[in-house]
Amino acid sequence: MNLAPSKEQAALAGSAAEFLAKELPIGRLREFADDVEGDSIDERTWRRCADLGWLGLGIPEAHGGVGLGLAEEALLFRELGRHLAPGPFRSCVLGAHVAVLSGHSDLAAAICAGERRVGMQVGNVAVDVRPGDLMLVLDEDGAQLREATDVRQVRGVDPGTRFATVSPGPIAARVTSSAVMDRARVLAAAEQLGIIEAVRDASAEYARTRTQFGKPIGSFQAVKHRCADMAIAGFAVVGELFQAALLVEAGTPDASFHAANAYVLATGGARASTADNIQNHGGMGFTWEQDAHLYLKRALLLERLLGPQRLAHKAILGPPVHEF
Amino acid sequence: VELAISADLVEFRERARTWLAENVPTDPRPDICDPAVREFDAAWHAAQYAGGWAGIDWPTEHGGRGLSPIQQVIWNEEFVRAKAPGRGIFGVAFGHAGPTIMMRGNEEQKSAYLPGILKGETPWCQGFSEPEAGSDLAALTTRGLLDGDDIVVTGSKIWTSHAELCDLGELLVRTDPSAPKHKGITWMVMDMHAPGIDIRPIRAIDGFPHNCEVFLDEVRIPKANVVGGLNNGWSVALSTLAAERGTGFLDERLEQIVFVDELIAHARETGQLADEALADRLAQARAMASSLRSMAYLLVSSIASGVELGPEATAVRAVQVQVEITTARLALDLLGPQAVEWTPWTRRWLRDFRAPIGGGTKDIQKNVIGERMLGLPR
Repeated sequence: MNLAPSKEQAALAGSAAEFLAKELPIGRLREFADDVEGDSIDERTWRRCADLGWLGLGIPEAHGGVGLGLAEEALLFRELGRHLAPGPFRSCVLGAHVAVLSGHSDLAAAICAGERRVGMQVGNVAVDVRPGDLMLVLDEDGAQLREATDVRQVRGVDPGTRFATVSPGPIAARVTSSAVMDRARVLAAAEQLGIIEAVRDASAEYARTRTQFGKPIGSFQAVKHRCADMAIAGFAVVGELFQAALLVEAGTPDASFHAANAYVLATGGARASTADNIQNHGGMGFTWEQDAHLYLKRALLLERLLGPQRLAHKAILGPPVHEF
Repeated sequence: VELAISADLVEFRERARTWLAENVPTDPRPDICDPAVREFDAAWHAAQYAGGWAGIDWPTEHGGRGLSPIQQVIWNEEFVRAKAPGRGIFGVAFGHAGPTIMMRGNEEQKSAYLPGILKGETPWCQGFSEPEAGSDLAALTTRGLLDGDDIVVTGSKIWTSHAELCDLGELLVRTDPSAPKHKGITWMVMDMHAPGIDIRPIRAIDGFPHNCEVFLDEVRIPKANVVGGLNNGWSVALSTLAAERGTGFLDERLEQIVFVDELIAHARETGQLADEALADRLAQARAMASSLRSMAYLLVSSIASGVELGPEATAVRAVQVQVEITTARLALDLLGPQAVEWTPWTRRWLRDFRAPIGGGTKDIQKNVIGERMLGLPR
């Protein structure tokens, strides 16, 4: 088991990061957020992301995808998390897998091409669903893609995400296995890892440059240690994440166990790190202008995205022994 | 990132598992205050050497097996799963002294010391910390005066584990008091049976003498025992500490996974898994412990791909410390009222208070991560 990214994989992550920094910087997210009636991402950028293959990295070429695997998807989602990318990336990628697993090749191809969008049910609301879109309904027993009807926008916590009440319509595709939940946990863990790394870097940058008592605040141990905790939290996730990606892709018996491990570790790390990042920025961290709250809110969404954390805990406690 | 596990590795794991099943000592390891512990640890390490399992990823030129780090990882996995007794008094020899001498020693030193480590003949201890040089290790004042072919050492060391049972010690001494504090230190090998050494065990919070204070009164150490050059000891000590992040102490990290398995099994048997708060903590502990293993694979993969690991590898020990503290306390809570009795888990809880202190406190570690990895000012 090799957990270090290959040259090709590193290049894929690098070019995704470059595209996101240029085309979807956080300033864009703020513009989309200010247009409360509008979409979470513009159609042109969405189609460009689809053209880059981002919606079908792990989908076989025969179904309109790129034919890589969950490890590559995880590398992409780490960057999407790091850049707080707006748009229904995770629900579309998961939706395309539901379409493939349920034998709906045309639907998978349409999702990969960016023609058909998929949002996702979260508790009583749905995220990133527009009228006419599909909605992913996911639990540990399986997943459904349903037509979204009666979509009414409501306010939600994350400015980079659209929230709505939706009546679930006819079922367009259905899978009865835990495989989609495992994939979802890996992708959510990857996004959370990206968030941890982003706030680690933001906090360190601020701590190096912000001066009080005549010194950069990063020289004070209390601040320095909060930054170090973020670095530790991120480093602890990396191996677990890529291991889970490989095992879920291969469908091994311990796949669910490791997917849940990665998700719980990443979620705990992101929860603490995004809160500490606000503290490190002092009064500025409490402002709308500073980006710190955007990471905090996205991390909360990802924490609640897949049901209570206790569901993941159950998956972790399932195996009698941790098999090597 | 790829899954491929070769048939060779599967076969290697099978052989390791079979050998361990047949050879792990059935008698319990004596307590550390019992002198019989040396004999026990030596016999167990000699058996591993005879079986071909000592120094799996050490180069063949140094008497190792010359196999890959991944095989060392697999051996450690099977080792902890078989509940084999750990390094014991050979921990410093395998984890510190061996790697340091391989990296920084000359040919004579390699052939003088490495075989004794691999065969389980010479246990080593560490004389780094001093009463006035703890976190600020470079402030050490034990002095070494050059006298002909010898260096004459006077001063005192503290927190030396198993000093009374060891034959050799890795020692840091100040050989140039006029140089800046990091520049005047020398790393040398001390014969623990040399005249002038007085060892006094220190009773720890669990009642056991885990460490000793070592007083040195004009101890003569040949100059030939200097490793890495006179006054170059600080850089040698850093390579000693760097060795901690590799596979050297991996068994201790993987043992946490086995321990969490034990805690979960106990909670299941006693019905405590129905307590949602306890179940949450057990799940979180299991996820954290699991990361110690995947981090080892990540490190080994990175080494194999030629990726130079930066100071972030220090984070491995930081996570290990978190896991040790967490699991030790969790065990106590699972015991309920029984925790006040002198149970193995009660002892373990007390013992593991050393985790965030020994080998550099967790606070100093976080300073290192903040400064070297994130570029924060001192």
